[in-house]
Amino acid sequence: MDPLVLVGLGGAIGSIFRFELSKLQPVRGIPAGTALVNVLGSFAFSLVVFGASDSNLSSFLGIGVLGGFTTFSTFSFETFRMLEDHDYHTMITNILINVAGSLAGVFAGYLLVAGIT
Amino acid sequence: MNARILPYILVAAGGFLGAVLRWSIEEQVPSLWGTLAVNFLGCVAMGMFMYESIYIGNFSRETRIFFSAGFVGAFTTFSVFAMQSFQAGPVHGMANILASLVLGLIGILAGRHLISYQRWM
Repeated sequence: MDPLVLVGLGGAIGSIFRFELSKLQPVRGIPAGTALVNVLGSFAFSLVVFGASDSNLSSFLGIGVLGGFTTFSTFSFETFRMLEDHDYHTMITNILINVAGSLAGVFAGYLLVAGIT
Repeated sequence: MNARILPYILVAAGGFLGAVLRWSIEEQVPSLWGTLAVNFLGCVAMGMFMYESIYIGNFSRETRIFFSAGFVGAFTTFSVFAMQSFQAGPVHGMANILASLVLGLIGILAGRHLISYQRWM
């Protein structure tokens, strides 16, 4: 199938899952849905990047599903709102959870794939 | 159409287009520069759509779902950003993280300003 269609279909699927998880209630002021999709999505993306050998599969799953599942714009908007509210403590915590969490997810995926192969 | 499935169809259609557009840009500008550009532009658009309801309020709920939850949500990406920061090594990775965070916030602010000026036009 055309990689463009694979990426698009993946993006549609990833977006629906993100939309569902965005309905989660915030935990201590932290938007749980956004943090969850970004950390979980980065971990899964790492498994695809380091593990998948088929280019169609990585286009669909990696660029499409997981690229569309995770989001930088919603994360930035939510962080911006915390900045506007002068809620710096929540803002820093939100940044740390998303950034450190997704980096840890990528590293965990890398270790997992390296351990199996 | 069933009012309960309509949001999902809108999110899926927006997500399809957003992912395809992101892929087209990443093909033209591979490396973390492409992701930085995608995430910045997406944040400008997100700032416009999220503050539109406050400043103007012309968009229906369906339009907002299509653009913000669908299109812009799928256009921007956190997983590719995290992967590229991880692979860039400590110095470049940290620089990419800081640049992305700052540009993301500037993008939202820029989008908000753009839409607030529209009110007077």
